[in-house]
Amino acid sequence: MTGAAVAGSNAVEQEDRALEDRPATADCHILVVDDTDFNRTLIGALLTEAGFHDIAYAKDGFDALSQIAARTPDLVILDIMMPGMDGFEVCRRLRADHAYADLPVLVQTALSSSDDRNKAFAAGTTDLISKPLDRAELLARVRIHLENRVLIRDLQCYRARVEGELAMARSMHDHLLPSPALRAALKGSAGVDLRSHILLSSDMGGDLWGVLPLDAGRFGVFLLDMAGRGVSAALNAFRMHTLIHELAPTLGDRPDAFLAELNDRAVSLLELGEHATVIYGVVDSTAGRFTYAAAAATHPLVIPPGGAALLFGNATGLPVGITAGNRYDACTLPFPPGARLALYSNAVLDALSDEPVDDGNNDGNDGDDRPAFDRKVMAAVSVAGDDGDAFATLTAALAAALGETPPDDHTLVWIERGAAA
Amino acid sequence: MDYGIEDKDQETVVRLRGRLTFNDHAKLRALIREMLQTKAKRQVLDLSALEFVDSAGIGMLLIAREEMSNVDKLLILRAAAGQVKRVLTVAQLNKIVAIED
Repeated sequence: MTGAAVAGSNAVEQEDRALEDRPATADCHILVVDDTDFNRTLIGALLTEAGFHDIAYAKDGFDALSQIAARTPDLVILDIMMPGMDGFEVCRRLRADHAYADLPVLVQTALSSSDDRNKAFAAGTTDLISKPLDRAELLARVRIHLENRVLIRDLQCYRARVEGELAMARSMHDHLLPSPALRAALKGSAGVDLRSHILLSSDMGGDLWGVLPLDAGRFGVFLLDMAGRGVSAALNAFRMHTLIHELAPTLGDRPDAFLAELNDRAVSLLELGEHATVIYGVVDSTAGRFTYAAAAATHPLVIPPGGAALLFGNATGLPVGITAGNRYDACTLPFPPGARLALYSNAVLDALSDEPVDDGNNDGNDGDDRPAFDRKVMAAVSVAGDDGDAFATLTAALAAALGETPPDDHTLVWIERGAAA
Repeated sequence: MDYGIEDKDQETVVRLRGRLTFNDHAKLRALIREMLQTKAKRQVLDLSALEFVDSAGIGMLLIAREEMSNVDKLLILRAAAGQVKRVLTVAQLNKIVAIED
């Protein structure tokens, strides 16, 4: 006990002590509305004695409403029978205004019939206090409703703070993604358009992609999908982003060595059960190819110009962050002028191959999901035509398959080479 | 996801059913504790009735492998099919976990 009880209220020390573990309500602002001087004085004295010190008084309904408009109380103690505007009407007007929808209103009533009590509740009363007033009942009800109000306000503050922090973290995550300026620079140096489509399952996600400009019009591109979701996956994606940019200057042009080194560093950084699927590759427009290495990623997909068959790469490999010393193979796909290259997270593959596909063979090949996915991509490309926007068609198909809240994070990165001049 | 455990002489067989995802973390932790209490050295996860596994699910399987190896037990993934088989294959988990058809 620190003796911090409000000055002048030591008459009720015992009750103060009982209140110590409960939300502090003594500073709450209470408005007492009663047309009888005696009742206002009595209620005010009981509240003051109990430690409440911010009490205002109104002598009728109009006075009450104007005082509430000037300063919103935390609780209103309201008489029903008043000349002019009665308590029922005050209640109804308060509840009609959204700003006072959750303001606790205690109605003091001598009304004993259940009809009248129901009428009070129908008008929006929070609770009733019977007349003649009983000190213990009055204080118990005042405290219960003030405590509820304080707790709800704390929760609202907490929620607003968390939402604010998540929004800030989300915007930091967005800033890790390639900026419009970087995309414009790559359009100039490598002759490609970079587009992406990201759908997160919650406020934060573990998907991340980016580009690393290299020399001679080449650039590296990565797509990383951290296991798990939400804030923990996003934090790990941030760590991986840092590693990737540390490795870029020395290993950026060698995807296999890049991935092996990224894996070794990730193993020492991540906990057991945390890992990432990654694809990293170098787009070389001059040579017309995409050279990449993958760690349990989805097959990179090249859509050649002129309606030729889709080309799928191979993207098997141990996820990054599990075992040190693992080696990854470099693979190559052709990437001629007019072609489009798609990298996408596993969730995109799952979402677009949701029809049950039974190819009847259990040969251990990883092609089980591919026919359906393949068909959908082909359909999107042929609907759009060679000059059309297959990316838009594909993302629309994805949105249709997933609805408002996808079960997992989805990323589709689309790299489009201009046709030969 | 649910599971059923069958404790045999030579091996413990746990049959996983449904979808193994991010949301099953607590359940898989409980399963690992149960597996640690069985006697058999060979701890088999029968995946034939498992329809779907996500990346977090793979992480949990790797945690199970580690927990078993800490007490000198061997984790075996058996009879994966469909999407589950594809994910195990793409991730080349056979490099670090025993996988049987």
